[in-house]
Amino acid sequence: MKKMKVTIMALAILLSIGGAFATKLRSDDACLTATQYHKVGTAYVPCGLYGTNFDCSVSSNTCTYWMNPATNQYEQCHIGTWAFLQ
Amino acid sequence: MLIYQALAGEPLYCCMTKRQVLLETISALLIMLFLYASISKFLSFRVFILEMNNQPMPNSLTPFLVWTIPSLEIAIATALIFERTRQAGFYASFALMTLFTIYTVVILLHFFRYIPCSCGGVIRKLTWRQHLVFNLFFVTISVLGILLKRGNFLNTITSTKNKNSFV
Repeated sequence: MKKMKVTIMALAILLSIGGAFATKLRSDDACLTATQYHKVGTAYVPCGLYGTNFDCSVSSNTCTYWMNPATNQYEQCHIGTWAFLQ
Repeated sequence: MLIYQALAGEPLYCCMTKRQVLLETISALLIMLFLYASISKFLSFRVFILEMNNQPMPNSLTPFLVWTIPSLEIAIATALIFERTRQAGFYASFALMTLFTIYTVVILLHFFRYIPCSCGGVIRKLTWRQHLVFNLFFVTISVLGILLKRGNFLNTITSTKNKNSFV
């Protein structure tokens, strides 16, 4: 019985640690911590810190963009509706 | 039926009753949830800080919350691993998941001026409605864990039934 319990617990721990590493944000990480831009017309304007200067509320729109150094183009970063805070 | 049999402690295999199997399964599910959520937060810590800032609460709380929430989740997962602390782990899990559920309901009721994006590894992909169902499931299994751990839950019901049948 103890062996079965230990097996279940070990499996749960391994799965959660493995799952966390497997689903770790990789490309998103770079985008989310980079300078965020808000699109005004055709221009991209730096919009400050997420949660401090602006918010993104749930929607399927593009909230902010970032400059991807690999492609040298503005790409979608946060999804949602952009809202100015301060 | 399985839950009834489990609560009654009917034997399943040679060495574990259905109650024990269910208890271990519930503990394992909660451990996976809390460990996965906390490790994901620590692995993408900078993103987690940003996501916490985006929540509709004062940003002054962020330095406190970004350490407290994942630490609490690890503490609960640890408590659930060991037999002696498991009951406390179930209570703590119930309390934390109830808090998360209340927060989700408050957000869905548009109590705040905007609906923020959610956070925590793959869980961030869930909508707030899916979050609510997800949280309610874990609140339910935490309650089930508490009842199973107490053990006398079904005995009390059964004895009351028997008493009534004699009257």
